[in-house]
Amino acid sequence: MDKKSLIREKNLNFFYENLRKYLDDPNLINKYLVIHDIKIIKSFSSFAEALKYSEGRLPENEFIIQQVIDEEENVNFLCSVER
Amino acid sequence: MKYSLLIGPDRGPENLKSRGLNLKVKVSTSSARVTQASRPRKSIEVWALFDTGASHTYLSEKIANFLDLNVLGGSKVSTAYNQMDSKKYAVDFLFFNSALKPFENYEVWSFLPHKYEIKTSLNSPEDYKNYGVLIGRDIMSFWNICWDGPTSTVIISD
Repeated sequence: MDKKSLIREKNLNFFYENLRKYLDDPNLINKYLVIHDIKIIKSFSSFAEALKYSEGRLPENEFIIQQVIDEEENVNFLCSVER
Repeated sequence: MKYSLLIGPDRGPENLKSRGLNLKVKVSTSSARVTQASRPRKSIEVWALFDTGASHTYLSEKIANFLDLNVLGGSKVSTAYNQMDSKKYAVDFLFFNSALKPFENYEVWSFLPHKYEIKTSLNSPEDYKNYGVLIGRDIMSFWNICWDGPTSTVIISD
């Protein structure tokens, strides 16, 4: 795994390890979290706001933006993908 | 009815059924990346297929690589056949031949495997089967979409 994938993986693991806790927090549910260096930097109401905050301010490929949602509740079938 | 995009009357009654609902989009590096991270804007014109089975909008990973996009997150996605790892990116969308408002700094997810080819988009731009984007319910939720099956017509307004 290259360095940027490793950093992303660490930030993603941090997010998913704590997701249950975030889902119970009324201040975080449905918010977009900017995560860098295994820490929440800031939360936003929209993906675009989170992106505009992060681009140019945080090192490229070293931050992620994840929404606090219960992904299992989403119906996601992508019926066209493999035809 | 005031509409932003009309699809279909020239296609014949069977076309909407056989071709699916698709439209051409221009996918570009996100405006935030261009203006704030001083990256060059790259873009490509591709066919996008509407997919009500998708909660989000998906982009072929080949396009993400072609545009040199940053990976901004990840998730597992269920398809009709299996579960796959998907990467998150940000792009701008422009909808051709329409008055639909463009989307800037928009969240999309990658999908593979897929038959999509970059070179087909560049060399045979009218090949609608070579779709590189799946428009999911997230984008559809911004629009009024009227599907008239018997006349093979779709009217979209925003």
